[in-house]
Amino acid sequence: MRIRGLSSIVPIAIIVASTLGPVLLAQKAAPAPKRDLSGVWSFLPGDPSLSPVGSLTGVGRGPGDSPPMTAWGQMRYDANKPGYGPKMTPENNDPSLQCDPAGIPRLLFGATFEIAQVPGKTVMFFGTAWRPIWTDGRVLPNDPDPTWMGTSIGRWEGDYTFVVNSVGFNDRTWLGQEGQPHSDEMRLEERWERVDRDTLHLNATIDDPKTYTKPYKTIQINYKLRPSTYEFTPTPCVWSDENAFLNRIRKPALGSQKK
Amino acid sequence: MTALAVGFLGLGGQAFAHHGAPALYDVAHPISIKGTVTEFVWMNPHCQIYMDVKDDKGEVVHWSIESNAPGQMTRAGWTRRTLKAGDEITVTLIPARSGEPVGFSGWALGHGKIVLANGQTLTTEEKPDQYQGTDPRGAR
Repeated sequence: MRIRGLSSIVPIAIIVASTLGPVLLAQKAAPAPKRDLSGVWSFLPGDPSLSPVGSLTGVGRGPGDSPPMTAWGQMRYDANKPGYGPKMTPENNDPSLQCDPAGIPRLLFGATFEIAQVPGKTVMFFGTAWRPIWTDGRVLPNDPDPTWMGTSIGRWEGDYTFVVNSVGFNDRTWLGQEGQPHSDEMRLEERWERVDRDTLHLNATIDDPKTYTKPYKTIQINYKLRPSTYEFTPTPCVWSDENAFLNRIRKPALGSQKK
Repeated sequence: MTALAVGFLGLGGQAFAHHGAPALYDVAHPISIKGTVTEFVWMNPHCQIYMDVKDDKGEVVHWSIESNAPGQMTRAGWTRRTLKAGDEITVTLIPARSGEPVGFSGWALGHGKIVLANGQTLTTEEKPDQYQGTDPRGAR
């Protein structure tokens, strides 16, 4: 009886599979091209990796929860007054409100960007800045000048994972909108995996023993490819516009809370 | 709290969040106001709508409202001419926690919307065809 029952199920399963199969396949993205990250990439609104229950964040979640901080790291963190996350306050002193560059890695956690590959380097364009990642075989400098974007080299591991190593950051940027600090000794490793044509995953590790007691592994960020028709254009931070916005909207919104 | 958790994304698309809107505005208590546009500012970091609204006593209150960045709003179908002084509109927004007549109406609160006098409803949410694989034209 049981065997007969089973035998009648099998043909149905085959019918179901053969009917649904093409539909599922049609929705599956095309395979990733080899050694190619070029295109415009954005967060996909609604991606479950972006906004965990109980967390109130800006675009994206930033790097995620940090490992324990050193005394120096905690001192820096205490001075930061972010507009998002567990420490969010209307007294927001995010350096980006002064049009300071967001820098790397923060731009990776909250921006649409375009990647272009040319001989000798891969270039990432953000709305407010650009970043060369050298692929010409050079090594990282021993004593780089500290900059907002750092100094980066990249290499392929297999055909679908691009690994970027960076040094030479100044300590004036936050890692994310929740005010996580870092020092100018930060070393960053980004692992960019192109899962299929439309999907790019970033997993990064921040090695900054002056600020954190352990390597800071960021949450995985998922990016989706924009169509080639997508109009990605420069959006520099314009201080006069920013200031008008703060004076006409944000300061009045603070009301009596204004300091 | 769930409403809070469902992704308050202060800025969309090309920019990154740093203005800290959820610290300023009461995300859990949206309101609707009806009035006359006095100025529509199409500008980064956020577009702005200024409008006169009559309160319960018939007194005119001047409201200042921020929405999303022009890039985000363009992708949602807006232009710099979508609103102009004199337009009668109804805006659903989250008001300033301070009680001042200032608010935020935009993506991705789930309740940022603007209704024009002719009944047309505008939001600033991006269309799904802005992503590869969902574009019906199959661009790329």
